[in-house]
Parts: sequence; structure tokens; C-alpha cells
Amino acid sequence: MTEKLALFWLSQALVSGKKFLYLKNKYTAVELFDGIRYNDSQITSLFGEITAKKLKSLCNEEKLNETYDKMTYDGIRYMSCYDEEFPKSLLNDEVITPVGLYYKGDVKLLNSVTVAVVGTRAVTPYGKEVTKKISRELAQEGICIASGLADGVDGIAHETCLETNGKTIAVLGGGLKKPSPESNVKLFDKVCEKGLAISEYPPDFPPAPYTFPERNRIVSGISKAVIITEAPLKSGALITAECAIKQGKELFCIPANVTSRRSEGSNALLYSLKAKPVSSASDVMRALGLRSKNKKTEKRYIQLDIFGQKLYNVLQNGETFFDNIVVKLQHPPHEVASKLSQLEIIGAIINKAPNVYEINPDVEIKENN
Amino acid sequence: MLAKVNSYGLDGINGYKIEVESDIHNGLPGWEMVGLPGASTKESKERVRSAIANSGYGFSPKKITINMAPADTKKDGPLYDLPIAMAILAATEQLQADKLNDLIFIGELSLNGEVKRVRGILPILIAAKSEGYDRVIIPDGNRNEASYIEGINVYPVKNLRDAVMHVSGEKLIEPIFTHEIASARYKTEYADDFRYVMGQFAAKRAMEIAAAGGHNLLMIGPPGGGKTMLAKCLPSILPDMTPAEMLETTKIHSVAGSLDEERGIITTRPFRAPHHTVSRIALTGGGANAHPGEVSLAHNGVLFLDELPEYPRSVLEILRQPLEDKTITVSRALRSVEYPAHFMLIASMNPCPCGNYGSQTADCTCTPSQIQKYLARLSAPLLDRIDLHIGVDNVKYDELAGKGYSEDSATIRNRVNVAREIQVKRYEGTGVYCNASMTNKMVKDYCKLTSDGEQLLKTAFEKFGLSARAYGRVLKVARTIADLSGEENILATHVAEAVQYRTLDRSYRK
Repeated sequence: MTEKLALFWLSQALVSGKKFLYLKNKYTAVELFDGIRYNDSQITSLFGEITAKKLKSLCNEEKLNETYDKMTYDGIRYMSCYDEEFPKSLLNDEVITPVGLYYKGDVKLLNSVTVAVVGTRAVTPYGKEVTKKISRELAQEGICIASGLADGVDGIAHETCLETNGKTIAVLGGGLKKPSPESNVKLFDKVCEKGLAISEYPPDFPPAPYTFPERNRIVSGISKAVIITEAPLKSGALITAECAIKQGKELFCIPANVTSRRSEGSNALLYSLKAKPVSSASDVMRALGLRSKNKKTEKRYIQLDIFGQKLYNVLQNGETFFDNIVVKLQHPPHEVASKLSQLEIIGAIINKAPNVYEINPDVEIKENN
Repeated sequence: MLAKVNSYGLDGINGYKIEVESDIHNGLPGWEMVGLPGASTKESKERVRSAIANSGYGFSPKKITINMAPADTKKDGPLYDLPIAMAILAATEQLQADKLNDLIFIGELSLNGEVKRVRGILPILIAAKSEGYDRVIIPDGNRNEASYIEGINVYPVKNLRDAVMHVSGEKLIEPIFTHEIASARYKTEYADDFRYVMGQFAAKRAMEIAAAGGHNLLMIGPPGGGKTMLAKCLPSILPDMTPAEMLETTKIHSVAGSLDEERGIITTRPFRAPHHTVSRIALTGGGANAHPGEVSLAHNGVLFLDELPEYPRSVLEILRQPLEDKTITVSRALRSVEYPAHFMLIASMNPCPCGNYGSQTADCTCTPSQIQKYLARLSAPLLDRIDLHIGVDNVKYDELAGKGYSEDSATIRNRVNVAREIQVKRYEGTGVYCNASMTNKMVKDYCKLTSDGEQLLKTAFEKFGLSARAYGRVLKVARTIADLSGEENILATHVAEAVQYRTLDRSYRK
């Protein structure tokens, strides 16, 4: 019986990080294994009735080995908290170290500089936009993005990161064979292929309401900083924020419209000074003392015709409705619509929402003289 | 004695000849009807008996047998009352039987002998004319409807007595004066006019394009954005109907019995807006008599479906066939009828159940799965058939917007008419009237792009991630935009405008 197998046994029986925190200084995992096997009442009483029963039922070295091999065959690996590759950042009592982690994908990602991007599941178009923006920028800086594979912000963060060929880690609230929600199963497969998915729960364990808050401590634990892009007052992302504060991580929020109820939570973190406001990856890099790898992306220069220039000037005042553009320019709507398309195609402006346009900040316009 | 009278029945929107025979012979007094009469036709014996007696003619106390040939098609409706009465009068020798040859009788009788208006006169007259009959007796109430068929003498009668006296030559009735169908255009006053719609320039322009090219249009936006109001204004800019279109549409409405007695013919494009509780049969047509449904009543006009996702999915999927084939086949136990159903589909919907997703002025309170479920009610094949989609948001006015000019519908309609004329001319003889109905081959032939346009379309597709199926749609819309500006070729600016109206394909929707 090796210590690792005994720890695997504890993980399989869902022994929580909290319980393990208390046990690890008193007993080795092998001692616990033997204690349970020979019905040592002192050790059995350490666990609750249900866990004890579970531990007892799994208390078979041969079977454990078999389970381990079968799991490995399915592409899922296991590392205990004493293993070499186990992330050092999680070996911290504030984090409440899990007994071990199941993982699928590139385990080396755990050594890279990681930032968590989390937020609400019911994301607004604004939340979507800023999540995409910051994830893309971070990925381009070579920073690994951790998130929870949930709907909304989490999914968008993973997705954008993968699109930019960046590194990403998904921390699941259930077993690696039970990714949830259903709609993100494809994304999960992509993350496993190109990034890393980890979980402290056995592969066949279905997620439960209490597991999501638990896994949030790992999301912030493996990260250097946590960015909340959008969160209402009642959001799982705020639990991650609490974890980050407790663990002494940097906490950032992206400021949002103060009238939007969908971002009351993230805005509240800013008022209370618990979080720092950020608007781009370079803000995050600066705050973390990291040097930006990418040189500032070169601006493209575009020359416009006279009508195009007039239209562009109207948009200089910020995002504008189609109707207002038409009124300000005093041009027939169909000419304006056509020109807007052309400007959009060459990349000078962005069609942000139906009938709403704004200028593209990455493109510089040459004045037409 | 035996007598025979010619009449016409309806099979879908086509008339077919029916011979009504009556035989009066000895036996117990009674009345037998054969030849598959439906309930309302069977009841005609009571009407005919009273009408004959109350018109001052004698009713036979013998045994009467009425046969309606062909005997294997079901006859329904009261339009055989008049021919039956004439046949009985001839059989009882109160009328010379040989004078009934070559005449067609249609009409419902009331108990006092009056002849009442029936539905389906127009298709019947067209069929009778094509089969070589040139004298038809119809109810006076259908006179206006009949006045647009030339080359056939139509005699309107007010009561049974008029009909008998006309046949016997005692008192002749003047045939209806016919006029050309093109002269039928009325100047219609519309209650809703685009002049009163502030802002919404993009939506108005999309409506103009839709009207000009017959394109299907989907409006997406939060409640209160003005989608329904825009749709209500649409009839005021629809192009004038061609005589052929008027005739075809009137035929369907004639069969459905929804014609205005005064006008007699449909001169403005129909605008049908069935509520979302509409049943499948009401939409497609059907029922025991296989009557035309909303899709056929909207033929050559507009079918407006407000709050599209609220319609049951089974109802919406039915639209796929008529949108593709422009006809609908209604099959019932006894017959299968094909109705034309060439309509413009105008639909509106909210972006999510609460309606505010993506709105600039209000917050959405829906969960992601709610939104997904809501959008999943519309199938991709249905959305594929919609050429233009536009966002209609609540307008946030700044002080300038109020001063914006608003064109009135008449100005827009003039442009639409010009563009439609170009199309009618271009597609002459192909059975296609508008750009939206172009076949793939026609798209290839008529949607030639300049090299600029080609280049722009290519970059637009890469930039916006438009799907391959969007390609044909964009080209058709660009063709209409070019027609609106009177250009022979599709220029880059036309293509650029056309891609503006593909909201659902755009990245902020994905």
C-alpha cells in the first residue's frame, strides 16, 4: 500500500479538504487505511457515519488499483497533494488543500502564470464583450486563464482563450466524466484537448449545489489574480471573490454601468475597495508586476473618403444609434447603411448591437486633406 | 318528365360543370336527391319548394328525383338552389326545357323566391368561359365580382321570377356591363402611414426593400420598439397589383366568401395577421370542404406573424412548404386541393422571453437557458427562408432625432412601384414577379456583380462570418436595392447595404 494509493482512496470516498486539513497532521493516509480496514474504532469515529461506510466499502487495495488503472485508461489522471506536480499555490491552509486532484489534459499548465476570469451565468451583451476582450488580451500575453466552465462568463472566457490559442484551465464542480452544464460538453472536450481540466471529485461524481462554491476556492487558489467581469448581487462569482480575498490574491473587477442590475455585485466590490478596477490586460499585468510580452499591437492606418470621414466624425462621440447618425448627417438612410457596412468591412467601425455603431479603437484614421 | 339544367361547382379555386337533372314521375309524393349532396345542398329541397310556391308557380305533388352529375364528387353549398328550381319548373312544364340549353344557373334561394349572393362566382365564370359557355345567370349580389370577366354574358337576377321570365323571353335582363380589370384600382386611404413613424430609419428602409422585392422580413427587438406599428404601415407601401395578380387573389377570396360585395374584386394586396393561437387548419386551409387558409388568403400579399416564437412549432413548420413552393396542397378525405400561397412573410419577435436582451434601454431578466429555449422554437430551415432580418430597438431620442425628416408612404410606394415594374419586365413570361422568387439559375443570370461588388461581398463574408446560405439571400436583396436605385448592375454600395440586413448572422447574436 503506497501513500499515494491511500490518498486516492480518500479522494474516491469524497473526504473533504477541511477534514483532511485536520487529519493530515495526525495520521498518514496509510495509517487511516489500515485503521478503517481493521475497524479501529478510534479512526472510524474520526469520519462521519456515511463517509466511514464509504471508506470501508472502498477499502480494498486490489480494487483501488483496478479503479486507478481503469481511470488512467480513460485519460483521467490523479495527483495527490504530496505529488511533485501538485500546484504549490494550493498547498496553503487558507485554500484548504484538497486531498488530490483528478485531471485531464496538459498538467504542465499548472506551473504557468494563471489568472481567473469569472462572472455571472446570465451574461449581458456588455459582459460578453468585456469578457471576450480581457480574455483575448490575457491569452495574447501568454497568461493562462482559469475559470469554472459554467454558462455565461466562464464559458466565454474559456472559448475566447482557446480561439486565441491561449492556455486555459477549467476547474469543474463535479467529476471529469460529468461535465456540466450539458451545453458546455463540447467546450469541455476542447479544453481537455488543448488545455487542462481539473477536479477534486471522483470522475463519476455528479455535481451538487454545494460543490460549486467548494471548487471556487480552487479557481482562485491556482490563480495569481481573480478578475470578475460581470456579477449581480447574488452570484457564485462573489464566492470566488471572497476566496480570493481570504487567500490574499489580487481581485479585479471590470466597472460597468451603475444602472445595470446585472453588474451590481461587481460594482459593489469596487465601491467597497475590495477590488481594483481594470479595463484591459495591461492594467492586470501592471498590477501584478508582470511585463507585457507583446509589444503594443500596431495600429492600422486607414484612409476614408469624404462621406466616410463625415460618418466617422459623428461616431467620435461614442456609440451612436443608426437613427441619430442619419439625422446628424442629413443623408438618406440607405446611403448611410451602405457606408456603415463598408466602414465596418474595412474595420474602421464596429457594429456593436443591432443599429448601434462605434469606432474601432485599434484603427487609426488618416485625415483626408 | 325529365329536365336538365347546367350549373357549376367548386373544386378548390377551379370551377367544374355540374348537370342537375330532375325527373318527375308517379309515385308517393316525395323528393329524392342523389349525386352526393352535402348537408347544405340536401336542405335546398325545403328552400326550393317554398321559393317555387311563393313565386307563384305550382309545385308538383308527385315524386321528384334530382340527380347531380358527376355523381362521384361531393356537392356542398346552397349555390345549386336556383338550377334545381329551374329543373323542376322545366320538368313540370312551367318552362320550356329546350330554352335551358347552353345556359348556366347559379344561386341560392330564399323561401320567398329571392336569389341570394353565393361565394366562388369568379372562378366559376372563368371556368365556364373557358369551356365555351357564354350565358350565365347569377345572383344580383354577385354583380360587381362578375363585372371583370369579359367575353361572357352574365345576367344578374334578383329573384326566381326574374330568372324564369328571362329564360322564357317574357322580360329580358341586360347582361352586366364589364370593365377592364386594370381600371379597377381604387385609391385606398391607409390609416397607418410611415409619415407618423419617427426614426426607425433602418427598419423603414428594410420594409421598403421587402415591399419592392417581395422579400420575407423578420424584425427582432424589445417590446415597445414599434415592430407592430411598422408592420401595420407596410400595406401602405406595397406595390400595385398587376391585373393577373388581382384576378388570382380575388379567386381565392371569392371561394372563401370573404369578398367585399361593393368592390367585387381585390385591388389592394391582402394583409393577413392571424393571431398566434391560430390552428394548423386555419393557417393552411382544410376542413370538410378544404377551404383556403390564411396562407392562401395572403396570396400576393402579406402574412404578418406577430411574436413569431409564440406560435406553436407545428404551425410554423407548416409554412416551410408554401414559402418554398408558393402553393399549398390541402388533402382531405374526399378531395385534394391545391391553393396558391405566394405571400410575403413579415414576422416580429423579441430577442428573449422578457424581451429586453441586448436592449440599450432596459435590463434582461432571463436566464441563459430560457433564452436558448425561446430561440430554439424557431427552426433553422424556417429562418433560412427569411431574407431580411433587422433589429428594432427602443429609440433613445436626442434632441436631434425629432427634427429628422419622415417620408410619407406615398413617396416610398412610388419608388417601390418603379422597382417592381423593372422586376416584372425582367421576369416576363417566367411566372416570377419579384426578386425574392428568383430561382438559383436566375440569381446567376441577373445578379451580376461588378468586380468591386464581388470583392466587397467576399470580404464581408469573411469579416462577418456569414453562412453559405446567406449568400443567395444577400444577392437577391442586393438585386432589389439596385432596382430601387434604378441600376442595371449590382454595385458595391448595394451589396454593402444588403449585408446590413442580416442581423441574425452577425457576431453579436452568436
